Amino acid sequence: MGAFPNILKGIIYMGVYITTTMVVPFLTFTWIKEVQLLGVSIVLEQLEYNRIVFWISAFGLLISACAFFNYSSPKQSIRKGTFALIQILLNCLYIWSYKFSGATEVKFEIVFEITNVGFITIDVQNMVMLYMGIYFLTIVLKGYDLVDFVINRDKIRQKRYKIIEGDDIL
Amino acid sequence: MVAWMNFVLNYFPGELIFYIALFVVIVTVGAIVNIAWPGDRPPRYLDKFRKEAKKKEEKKKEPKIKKEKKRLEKAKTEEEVEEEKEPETIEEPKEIEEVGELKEKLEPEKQTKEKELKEEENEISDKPSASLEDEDKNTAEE
Repeated sequence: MGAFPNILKGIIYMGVYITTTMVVPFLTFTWIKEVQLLGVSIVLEQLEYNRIVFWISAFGLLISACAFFNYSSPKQSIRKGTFALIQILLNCLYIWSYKFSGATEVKFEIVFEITNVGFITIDVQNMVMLYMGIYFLTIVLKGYDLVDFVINRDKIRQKRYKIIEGDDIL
Repeated sequence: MVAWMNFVLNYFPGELIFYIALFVVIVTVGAIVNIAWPGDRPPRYLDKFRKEAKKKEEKKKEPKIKKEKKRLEKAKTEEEVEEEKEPETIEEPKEIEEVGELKEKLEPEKQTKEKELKEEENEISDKPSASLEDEDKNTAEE
């Protein structure tokens, strides 16, 4: 692939990651900030909301930037391997940010006509831990890929350039 | 797995501007790097090494090519020499024939000459004996 298709691919994936890591969580938390069920408003605490949105935005930006670098790089290149690994590590931090920002234990106040009726808490810590396990395996895989790209650098290059030379001839 | 994240997150700044700046920097660097080295051709800085390697390979090959050329040239010259020699060998029989003819011509002359020489020899061989006899006669008369 040339420079322009690489950049285009990077931009597309960056858009996908911005949507999935920033826009969707932001909209979700904004929506659940003030939900009304059967005339009863369930309010998310303001402090928690701000903290969650900040960390989602912060790590979302970093993940999207790394995704751009990763997907715009040529296949089996060292820079692709490096940024793929960084991206996975940032994903871990992103998921973990849900936990430490309090998003895994979302506390809602049930308010009925001015009076506070009670609280609802949603605990998704186990789900986050499940994701962490998956990410741990992905980290191992990406680390292996990076080592492979570094060790077989010459072979990969020879193969890549030979194919391109062959294409030119044809 | 979790401990390192708690440790790392302590060092993450709490201002969103920092992350926005980092995002812009990474995307810009990524764009520049991937435009400069898209990966579909060898990087320019490797061209020097490639050229040097090619030159070395050519240098290694050159003596072999030269040797082969020399061999071919030698073979050609040998063939040419052989081609040149071949007509001489064809001419040789003519010379031999000429020599044979001359020999045939000269043989009777030789034979005659030999005969003459033999006769002369005989004559010479006869003469001393006659002269000696004459001398004996002369001494006896005295």
